[in-house]
Amino acid sequence: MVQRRSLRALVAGGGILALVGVLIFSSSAAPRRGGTLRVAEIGEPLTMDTVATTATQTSNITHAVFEELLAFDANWRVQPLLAESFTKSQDGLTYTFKLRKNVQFHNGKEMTSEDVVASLNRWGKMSPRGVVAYKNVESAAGPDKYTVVVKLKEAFAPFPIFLGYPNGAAAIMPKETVDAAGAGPLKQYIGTGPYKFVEWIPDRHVKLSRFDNYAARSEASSLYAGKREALADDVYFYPVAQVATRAAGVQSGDYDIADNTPNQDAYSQFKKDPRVVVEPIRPGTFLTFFFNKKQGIMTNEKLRQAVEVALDMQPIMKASFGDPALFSLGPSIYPQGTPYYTTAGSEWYNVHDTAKAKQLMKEAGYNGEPIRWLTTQQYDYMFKSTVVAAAQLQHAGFKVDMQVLEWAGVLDHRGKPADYDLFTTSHGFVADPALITVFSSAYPGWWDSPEKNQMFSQFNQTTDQGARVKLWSNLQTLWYKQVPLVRPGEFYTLYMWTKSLQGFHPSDFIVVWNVQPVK
Amino acid sequence: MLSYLTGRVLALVPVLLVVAVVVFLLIHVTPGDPARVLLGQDATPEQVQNLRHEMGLDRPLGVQFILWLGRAFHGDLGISLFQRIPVTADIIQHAGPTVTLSLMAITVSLLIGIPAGVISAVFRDSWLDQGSLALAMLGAAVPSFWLGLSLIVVFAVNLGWLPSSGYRAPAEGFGLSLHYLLLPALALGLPNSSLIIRFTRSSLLDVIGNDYIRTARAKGVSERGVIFHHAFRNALVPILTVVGLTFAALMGGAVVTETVFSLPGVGQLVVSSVLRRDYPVIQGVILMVATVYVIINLVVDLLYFLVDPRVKY
Repeated sequence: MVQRRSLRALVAGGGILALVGVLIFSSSAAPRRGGTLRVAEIGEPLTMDTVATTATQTSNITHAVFEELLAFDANWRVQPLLAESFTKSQDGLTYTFKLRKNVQFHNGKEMTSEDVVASLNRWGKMSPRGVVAYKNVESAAGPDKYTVVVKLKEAFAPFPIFLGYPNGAAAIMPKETVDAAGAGPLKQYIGTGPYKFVEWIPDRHVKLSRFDNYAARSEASSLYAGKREALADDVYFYPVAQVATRAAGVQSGDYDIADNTPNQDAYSQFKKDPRVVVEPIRPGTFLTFFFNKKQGIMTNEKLRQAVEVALDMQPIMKASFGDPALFSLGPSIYPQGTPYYTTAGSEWYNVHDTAKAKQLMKEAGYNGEPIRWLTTQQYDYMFKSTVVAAAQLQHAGFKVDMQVLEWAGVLDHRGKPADYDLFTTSHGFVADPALITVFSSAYPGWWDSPEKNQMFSQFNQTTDQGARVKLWSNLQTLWYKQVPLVRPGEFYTLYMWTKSLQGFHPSDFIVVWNVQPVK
Repeated sequence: MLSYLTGRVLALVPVLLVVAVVVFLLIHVTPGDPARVLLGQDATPEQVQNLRHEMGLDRPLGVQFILWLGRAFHGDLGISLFQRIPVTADIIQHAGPTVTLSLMAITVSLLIGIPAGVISAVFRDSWLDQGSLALAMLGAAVPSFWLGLSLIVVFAVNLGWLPSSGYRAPAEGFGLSLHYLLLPALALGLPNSSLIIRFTRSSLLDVIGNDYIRTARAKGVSERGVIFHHAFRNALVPILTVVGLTFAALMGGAVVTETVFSLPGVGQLVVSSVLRRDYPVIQGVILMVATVYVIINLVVDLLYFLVDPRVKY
């Protein structure tokens, strides 16, 4: 019931926002329909099956095609999208979703509960995120055409967050396409989104076109929630592997939007170009150095702490991201302004104390064994940050054996406990700590301590927001103490777009609706 | 002639077999797992295992190889692990841009290389000769990605005359396709022309030193006639070799140029397939490239015969 009341308040809030939006819009011209939106992506998508992968590239494209029951607003709260509303039972075990009526799939069929149930069940089996959420799911059923009831085995507070996340997404699709896919990948890409999938020509483009029968929500648009309108007739995603080519393409007007454009020195240069806008995406991504906690010398907590206190984060971040506007330091895993911001455990962050590191190394019984550190040049920042950090560790008395592989090689080796001691990667901002994959005991590096498992499941079962915030600060403290990984800081990737483009806002996953193309 | 041709074609079989074995072993020895790449870094080990099974990657290597080879003999190169389309279709799709680009680049190289080479040889040791040799040196020294990016900055970003990247098939309009391919063809053709300049020059100089040229001159044939009717044709054989080899190399995909200009060619296909460990595609493309190489060499050998009737097989 509490849920429903706050929902109503939200809807009312949305109404006010919509009104403000109307006022703003009335002073400028109404959005124009038509034209083609051309997006330069960093490469070719791996698959268009948005459920089966957590690759950002796939989400960027499929985001406008498939929709979920829920979606995030600009404050990272879940709002209903395909659901009209939803409620949670007092004991937190039953979620009831009321579906919106007259929502059409791209094949013309109306969305009903049987489609939703089939989609959710596939997500629970196929999606790296769905598998995690579905561990707690007892059953999903559709008692009537417009109602879906999900019963949980035990309380799992972040369930709505998992349902609303557009990556490894709980995408709703027709039951027939789910059945046709069976245990394999999707054969057709049919969703309810403002754009429908038209064609995918490998290494050339993915084309989406406006879905004329799209059932838009009426609330004002806010990040991924609210009203979605396909202003462009068509949207093209081009794979453009070279950063310099993507940037040049936006400057010359060949593309409207470029994903992931150059950081470093180029940023200040592009900021001066009157033809384009460059803007970092906030909240950012955090850089991570992961320890192997299953096998080898880094199973020793003291030694991990030694690495943690030896490192000086400023030069690591500076070398990797250049411009100070593009990264930030600080102990909080959640950035300032978000509910989970906390400095808990800060006494372990950015200590840069070689003497203390040497002391811890001695206590750990470190005898100069080489630390095998996996990294890749495929992602420039991973390589640069590893080089600087490795030099710092060597200065503190560690012996580092840096192994530079292709990303596919890193992914392969890091899954094998015998192969490494450290690997470099990053973790994007997620709306709720429950989505941070580091907490999964199965994630490479294997953080599987009893304290963590107990605290994390308590966090997931707690529904009271105040209590969750408190539990989160304890978890962050444990993170710094047990050191499953070192987190040097946060960085911001850049989007670049042509100045005359209306309605585009950079976000984790590209939003192409409500965007008015130039031509 | 016919028996020569049959022999050459039959020789293809062992070459391709060796290529097939080496490629198969090399890519399967390289670390990296397509299932893991596809699922993203957040997948659980069980999910990876399931997908590996579905992709048939959990079978013994020998079994995988024999299955693949057996199908390859029937022209079936398998299905791309990522795009889920037949490898042959994938290659054909990517061959279009590569063939068009290669033809244009070779044209650019010939248009620059042959005249510059001829001028160089005819006006040996003059400033014209020095100039074209310097040009050749520069062309060989400039990295193609730098040249490509410079062309983009000048002609796309600053002047706005040509598109910065992308591809339009000739089917969408020949002029449009040309428009998109002009910069990449220049980026690829300019460095390649330097080789042709040098070969044209040296091979023409060799010929010019021969007795029959002296005879022709003594008979009073004009200098233009000497160069174009007597010398040039005979100088063509080595030039043809270079052009053939260059063209064969281009057909394997001009990886750097295709990446810089974001062209969906064979080079791009190889690179992205290697990064994703899309085994069937890597194997298929390399087999295809090896075949094309051998065939182009064969064609070049046959062209010798046309250019110089003294060549006998």
